[in-house]
Amino acid sequence: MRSLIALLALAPMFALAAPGKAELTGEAKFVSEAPVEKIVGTALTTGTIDIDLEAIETLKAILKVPVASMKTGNDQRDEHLRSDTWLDAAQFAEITFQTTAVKVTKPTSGADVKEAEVEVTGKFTLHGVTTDLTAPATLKWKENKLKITTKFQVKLADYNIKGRDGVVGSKVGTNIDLEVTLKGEVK
Amino acid sequence: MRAAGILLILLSLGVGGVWFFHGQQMATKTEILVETEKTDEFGDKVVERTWEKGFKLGLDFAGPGGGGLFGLGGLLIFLDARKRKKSRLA
Repeated sequence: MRSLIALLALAPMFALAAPGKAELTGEAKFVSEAPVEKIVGTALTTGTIDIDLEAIETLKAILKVPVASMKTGNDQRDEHLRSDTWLDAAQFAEITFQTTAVKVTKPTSGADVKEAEVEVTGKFTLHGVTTDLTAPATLKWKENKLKITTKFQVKLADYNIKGRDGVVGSKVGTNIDLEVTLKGEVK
Repeated sequence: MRAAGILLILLSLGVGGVWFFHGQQMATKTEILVETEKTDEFGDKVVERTWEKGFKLGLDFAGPGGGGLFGLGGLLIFLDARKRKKSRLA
């Protein structure tokens, strides 16, 4: 009986030891800094992750950003963003990232809230163009709650995004900074 | 006519002032990104972002609007000066 109680008491600690899956939801903040203008916008982000918190390097995730959810605070500019001159939402409705490899750069630490830092490599698809992308990410988990944060940069030219003549580099930055936060419950 | 011209120039300066104090944006914003700092369940300081209805005048409207008012005001002052000069010579 005593050992059963002890096992039940310790159960939450082992709750995440087994591989689990989580549906992630969150937000991406994107920033374009150009000589003429700085644009700050947000977009919804969703994803799924298969994760074993005892072996983080085995995690597999796919993240999706619907282009239609991107907002910059100006409806006309958002329309332009979705048009075929820019991200062409009609043809390429989603921006995706699918992991291919994970390297742990800082092993798990913490007690109540556990944390690990990783370097994630994956296939990043934007505007129909897929490239290999590596980004640092931080994973935090508390019981079965998981949070992933990452920051990286994309170069518009790498994804064949040209925009109107002369706009990229003057009104729109050649590189876009992205900051993504996702949360979910591992089941 | 001169008074109307001066009024239009003052209005154009007002448009410029509003644009300046609205953050000198290029594009007019109809929604404002509000960032609120809070502590999440992981004990981290995080920024919660929400879009709220609002208005920030951008150069896309302030430029043509303010420029147009300034030009029209200048034109009225010029026409008035020319009219006064003609009447003085007559």
